[in-house]
Amino acid sequence: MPSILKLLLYKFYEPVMSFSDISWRLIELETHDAFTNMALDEACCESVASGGALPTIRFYRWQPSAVSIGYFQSLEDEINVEACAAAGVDIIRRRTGGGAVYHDYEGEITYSVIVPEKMLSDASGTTLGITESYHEICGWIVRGLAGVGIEADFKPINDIVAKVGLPDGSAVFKKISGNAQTRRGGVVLQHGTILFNVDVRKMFSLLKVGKEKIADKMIAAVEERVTSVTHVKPEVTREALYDALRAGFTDGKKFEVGAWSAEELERARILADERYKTKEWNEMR
Amino acid sequence: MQYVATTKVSGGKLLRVKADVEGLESNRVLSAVSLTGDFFMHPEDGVVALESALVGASSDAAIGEYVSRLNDVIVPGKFELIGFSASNIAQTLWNALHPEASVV
Repeated sequence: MPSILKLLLYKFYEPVMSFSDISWRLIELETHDAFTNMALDEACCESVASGGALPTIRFYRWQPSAVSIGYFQSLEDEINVEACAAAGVDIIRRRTGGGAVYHDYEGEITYSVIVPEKMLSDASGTTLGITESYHEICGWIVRGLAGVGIEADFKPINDIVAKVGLPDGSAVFKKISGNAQTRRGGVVLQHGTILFNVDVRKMFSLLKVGKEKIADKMIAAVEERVTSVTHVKPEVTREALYDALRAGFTDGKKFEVGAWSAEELERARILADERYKTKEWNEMR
Repeated sequence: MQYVATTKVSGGKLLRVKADVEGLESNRVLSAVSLTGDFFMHPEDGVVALESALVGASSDAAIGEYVSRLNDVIVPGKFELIGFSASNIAQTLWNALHPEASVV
């Protein structure tokens, strides 16, 4: 079916749909700076809300590496601005809640899912609540991690934990993915990161965690809770992880590999300049 | 004068409350309140309503009054708090205003 027809059907008939009924646009793994990445999320929300674009799954990396803070966090309280500047790390406030995240260019893959709220429904057509929708979308990540041999599970409120074997043969579950969601204008945006590898010491140098936390025992405490793909499965490459995540997100769905429209790119440029790069936005709390 | 307290909600999120207090000793009121942390709230803009609901309250009020003020604006179906509650905000605010009570 031609894309324009799909868009018209979706915009005017608003049928009750399951995920397998929705036609998705997939934006393959790409790299942008922090401001463009967050601006593209918002521009995409607008185009999906207006019916100008299909519900979208996108994967991306951050270059330069960046620290993002949650919508409600205080930049002054959370971020070591001088250390970020010295390391060439950008700082940005997200539209979503949650905590500060260090998006290392080499250390993670980020995704966004942008879908009309009314399409985010279960088999009976009931719109999923926030917790249920975290569970649904995080299930796609769990499926992707399984594709590289990592056993993982959704841990409410918004985390995914992976099974890590211990030398004595037992196992523990550690955080491998953090996720955040906002719902505005009838559209759900959920984005999150999947940790490929973690440099806790560098992460702590960029956040205001206090000197006591940078002590070795505090780093060890974080490493007790957080893991990464390379820690669990050292042989997995980033390319293999991406392929598995792509499969996990698209399995059972109708999708077409797409690209940003000229309108979305122009809107993202404006949002980056007028919001995400500004002190008014990033320092509003 | 500004008062600050932080709570890590059990099974939930971190919540920090900053409260500016003005007025005479016998009539001190909250002139500004800021809620920050790694929590979630939908819609996000609603946090301003929560902060505004506490402005004007006495700094000597009981926790229950702060909860009541917050619940007046947390309309079910309009605001959803995730990882924290009105009670957590009120308790953290009270802790900020009564630092001596938390000294062991």
